[in-house]
Amino acid sequence: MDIHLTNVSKTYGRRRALDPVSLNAGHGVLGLLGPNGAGKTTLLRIMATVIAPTAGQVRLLGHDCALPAGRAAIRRRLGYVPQECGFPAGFTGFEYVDYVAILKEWADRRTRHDEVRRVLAVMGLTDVAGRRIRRLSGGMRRRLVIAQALLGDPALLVLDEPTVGLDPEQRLRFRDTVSGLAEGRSVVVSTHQTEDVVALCPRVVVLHEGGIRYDGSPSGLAAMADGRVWTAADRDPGAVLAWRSEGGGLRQIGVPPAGAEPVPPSLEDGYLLLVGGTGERQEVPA
Amino acid sequence: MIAWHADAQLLAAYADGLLDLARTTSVEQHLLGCGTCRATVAAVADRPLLDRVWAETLDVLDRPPVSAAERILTAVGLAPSAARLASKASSAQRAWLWSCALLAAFAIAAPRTEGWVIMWFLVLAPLVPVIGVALAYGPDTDPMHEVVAAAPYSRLRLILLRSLLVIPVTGALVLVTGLTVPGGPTMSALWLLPGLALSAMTLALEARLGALPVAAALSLAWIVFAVGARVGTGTVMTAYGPAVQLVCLTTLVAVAAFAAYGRHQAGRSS
Repeated sequence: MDIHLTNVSKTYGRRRALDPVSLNAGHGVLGLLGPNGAGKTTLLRIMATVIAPTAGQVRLLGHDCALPAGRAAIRRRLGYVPQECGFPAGFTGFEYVDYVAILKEWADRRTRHDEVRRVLAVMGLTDVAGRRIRRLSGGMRRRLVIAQALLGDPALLVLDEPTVGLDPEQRLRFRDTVSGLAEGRSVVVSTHQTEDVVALCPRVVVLHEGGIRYDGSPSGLAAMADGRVWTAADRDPGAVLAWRSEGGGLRQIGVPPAGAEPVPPSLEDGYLLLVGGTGERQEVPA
Repeated sequence: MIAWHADAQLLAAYADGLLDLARTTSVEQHLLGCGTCRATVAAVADRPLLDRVWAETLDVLDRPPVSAAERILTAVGLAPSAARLASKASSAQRAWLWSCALLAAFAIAAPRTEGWVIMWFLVLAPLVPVIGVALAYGPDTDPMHEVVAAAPYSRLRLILLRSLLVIPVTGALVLVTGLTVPGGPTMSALWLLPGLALSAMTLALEARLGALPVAAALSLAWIVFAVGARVGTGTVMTAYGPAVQLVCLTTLVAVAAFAAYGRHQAGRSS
């Protein structure tokens, strides 16, 4: 198991950002879903060794995060895409990735530059690498941050909403890249996009109000909304959420009225029911 | 439209680099305008050689320009990669540089008889290295801090590299004080030790409390102390007395010993 969290919690002053969370994960892509403020970023920053948990034990890639030597060992094999990331003024894309490569202890210039070129090519940025970052589009900047995370072929990839700012085609290509990377390494990716989870993750964890509300397969999450999704012309009183669907009429989730015809649920239905509904932890359906 | 083509033998000799300068130039001139012959050359070209040339070309094209600061740092013995980390000043550090220049200009321009100018100079000068160090690292001043914090590069080493700028700036200020403070060069370096001690404390505490809060608290404490000394004894020089210098020296040694011990422990646990 590459990721081993035991009762990890985080408190900022009096505010609890993360309730005690235990999570184990091995190779493959683990999707982290949750609304804003659910604690996703806090959890990922702990996994990226950027912040220390208030309590609990974090073991990553076989090393203890509490020890300086353990953190250094983890960071040597870690790639991290933060949710928000600035750039130093005046840098080109190449200089930015090169700067991070130095921080990742690539001292020799030739091998370092070869590696920088490689990750830029993986993210399709070769042609714009010499441009100043402030002249790049939002999607290109996001890809630049992803590119630096791929330096040195890390064993653990922590991606905090990597697809924000990418257009549909770039998102598709990103999913392709990540699925390719998942072979033989651990990837944790947080997202708002349920389609990202469906396309990428064999396992999904839903985080809500600082705690884990679901941990299982995407189909299991969808199945939680079995018999609780229906369409009707007007909003029914039992609906937790209702929105206009493609076929006309309102797609609703919640407690259907008598006589309503349930429709097959999607992952999004299950997720919305979970975070928009009761808020209690739901067990994975067998 | 080019009707004539170079024969295969000539092109093969060209690709192998066997032609003399005049004929090489002629063939190259022809190749520029003739797609057919370019294709012939490509087919017989030495693949490994071509790859090597291409790699060299890319390397030269991509290589980020080396700044003057980087050149100086490399010349004094820093590895090129370390020089790169040290030479990229953040916008916050540039602002700090400007305020240091302002402070120096202020001290030079002020008439020597104006006691309050010298007093404020002496109160503020020790804060120059402290703030220089505090701006080198952390989420408040480094836009890419999240990425930096997740990288294996030693935090202390990075802060020290990025604070290298503090040395020439502090040196320049010592020079300025030598010219302005009544009492000459020996008096002028008195603020150096308090400045270093406060910087060392910032380094020691930043990991726990954040560089900027620590620097701000220490700076405030120092200002209160120095102004208090001026009010209490009539001269700011009391804040630079032998007892204070001794305390500063002890602090410096203690922080250095603590850091060395921490490194030793970290080395043992790995």
